[in-house]
This record gives sequence, structure tokens and C-alpha cells, in this order.
Amino acid sequence: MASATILAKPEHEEDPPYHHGSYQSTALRGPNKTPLILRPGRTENHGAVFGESRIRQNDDDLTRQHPGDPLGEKIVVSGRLLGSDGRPIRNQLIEIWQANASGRYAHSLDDHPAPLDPNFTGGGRTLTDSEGRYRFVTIKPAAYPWGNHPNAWRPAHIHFSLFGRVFTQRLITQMYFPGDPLIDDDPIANSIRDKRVLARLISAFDWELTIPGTALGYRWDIILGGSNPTPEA
Amino acid sequence: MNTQSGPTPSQTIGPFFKFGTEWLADEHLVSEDFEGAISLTGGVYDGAGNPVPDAMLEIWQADENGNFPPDTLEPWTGFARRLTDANGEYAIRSVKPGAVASASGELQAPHIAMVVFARGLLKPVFTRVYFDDENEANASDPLLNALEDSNARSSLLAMGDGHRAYRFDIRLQDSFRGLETQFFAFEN
Repeated sequence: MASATILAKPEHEEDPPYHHGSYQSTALRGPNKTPLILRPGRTENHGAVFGESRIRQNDDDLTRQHPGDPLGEKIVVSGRLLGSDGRPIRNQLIEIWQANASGRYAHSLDDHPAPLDPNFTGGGRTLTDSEGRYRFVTIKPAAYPWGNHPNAWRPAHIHFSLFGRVFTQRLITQMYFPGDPLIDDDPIANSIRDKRVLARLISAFDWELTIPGTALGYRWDIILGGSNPTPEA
Repeated sequence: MNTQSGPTPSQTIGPFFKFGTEWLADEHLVSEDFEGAISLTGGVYDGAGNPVPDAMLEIWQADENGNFPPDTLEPWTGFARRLTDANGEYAIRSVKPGAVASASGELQAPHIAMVVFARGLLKPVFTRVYFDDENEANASDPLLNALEDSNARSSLLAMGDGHRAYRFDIRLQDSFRGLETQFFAFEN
């Protein structure tokens, strides 16, 4: 089927599939029908507007959201948000959430028997600057076990929620840490079939981002695919 | 230093996103006394027909005149987010958007763009919400007319009650009855 609206072009193949047998939750939640390729209309080619007014002080420093210091290894995570054309995505919202230094989420349904940290919630947000840069100060999250298969462990990761210039660029993903031996056996990370594409989710240790005596630094750039909107007549 | 060489791939939102995303899930697009306000409610269901209580969905849409920021007369975000409740349900107060043009310039029936994230979805599902009481506009909508499967077409129609309340369910998977929501992907 092809028309001015529905395109016959195959889906972008770098993203994971909806069904990935080793990640059990996909079985009943992944659509069975292949999505149709839609040529975006104006609704899909517009950007949402988020006011800076809702971003508060310390939203980008997860170590300062409570009266005391959180436990764990303090880190800086920083990089740039770019379109696939290489241009920075300016003044746009980035949200993160993560487990604490023991591998426990501040969520009522997380039953991992690791301690919560009263000084760490694990949620943050910021706006990119005029060059598309973002920077968070946080705690390095720990790996944690999950029920997907016997002795399953998620590699340490930080969840990222990203907005581009338009709806079609909307992305939620996970950032991993370099050298983590758990990545190779993680069904979620390995739902991405091409290892070179998976490598785009792994941050790089970077001395330049460290805060001497206080925090180590990890660099992670994000490139939003999706269609680049064409100027409207 | 740019450490990346191509688009960053998707990963699942997972089950534990509430404390990271709910701060933005409390806004309606219009106030309660806005003339022409509609309610858009519905549920998210999995392939066993069970509600999905840990989904996050967002809508992006034009205002009632078919305009987007920054071309709207009144302040307009065009955006709302919801986390489904324990019954897998969501509710948003908005307006029926005005008609907007398609990529090729044809006028489209009023519609809202929707994206759904959940544990078990390694990438989100994108769809469109049309309105079942827009018979004339729907009959000439290029996307609805391009759908050959009548179930696919009807899966995109929010059902109105005649009093500005619309219900739009998202069936992530429904192979037995063939009622799976029609989802879309976009060209790169």
C-alpha cells in the first residue's frame, strides 16, 4: 500500500523490534501488525512548547534534592542533543530517572530488597542550552536483578526522555556505562540487533567532565532521528 | 567530541518511570469552563485484553483553529501527558482541533497525534485520534481513506457520546478479534 500519506518504505531498522523473545514483557504488549509508514502531516511536524517556568533549581542536580547527601559515587553526565542533521536542539526538555546506588528505584512497585536512600529520589530534568548541551549531577546507579529469567540482572543505566523539534522525534531510551559486563547478556540492550547501534547507548568516561575531588564524568551525546521537518509553505 | 555516529536507538520506558515523568502529567490543554472543551478518555490494553496500568501516553495537537505554536492566538502548548491509572485508564480535557493540512497539502479531518510508552514496548507506538462524529471530514481524509482494513480505520475513531465526551482505547495487540490499534512509524 502506498499513497501520498502512507509510504511503502520499510521502517527504520536500527530501533529494536516490538517483539524480542528474550524480553518477556514484549509478548503481550508489542503490536503484532507492522506499523504503516506515515508521511507526517502538520500535526506530526510541530513541536510542543514547554515553559522554563516548571524547571526548578536543583532539578538537574539529583544529589541536592534532599537535606542530606545521597550515598554512592557522585557523577556528572553531560553531552549534546542534536538532530540527525547535526544541528543542536536548543532549549528543549530532557528528563532522566534512575535507580539509586543500591539498585533500588523510588517506586512503590520495586520489590528489590536493596535499601532506599532518603536523600535520593532519582528523577531529574533540564533544558538544553543554545548549543544543545545538557548536564546532570547524580549518583552512579547500581545494577539490579529482575524477574525476566533466572539470575537476570539489568546493567547500570539511566533512563532518558527526549523531545526534538517535532513529534516524530520523540524518544525514550537508556544510557549505559562503559565496560559494564552485564550489557552483553541484557535482553533489553540486545534487542538492538546491530552492536554498533547499541554502542550509541554507552556513555564515555571523560576526565574533562569530572569535578576534581568530587565527581567522575561521563559524556553521552544524543542524536534524534525521526524526520527532519521540511519548511512549510 | 561527538561520541555518536547515527540516531540514538530506543529502549523501553520500563516499569518505574513515575517519579521521573509524572511532574508533567497534570496539565489539561484548556480550562474547565473553556467553550468547546472536550474530554478524551480511554484505556490501554494488552494482547490478553488486560488493562495496562503502567503506560505513559502523550497527545500533541493543533488548537481549535488548526494552529500550532507559535501561531496560536492564545497561549497553547499543544501537549498533554498522562500516566495510566490502576485500571489502565487516562483522561485529558482538550478541544477538538481545527483542520490542518497533510504533507501534500490536502485538508485532513480533525485529529490528534498520540504516542504510548510502556514496559514491554522497546519503542513507542504512534497513532492518530480521529472523531467519529466528523463523518464528512473523515470521508475525505487522506489517511483514513488510505486504510484498506475497516478495523484499522475504526481503531482510529474516538467514540463521542454527543456531549463532547470521547472515548479512545489503545489496543497494543489484539490478534484474535483483529481489533489491534493501527499504529504508525515515520520516514527518516
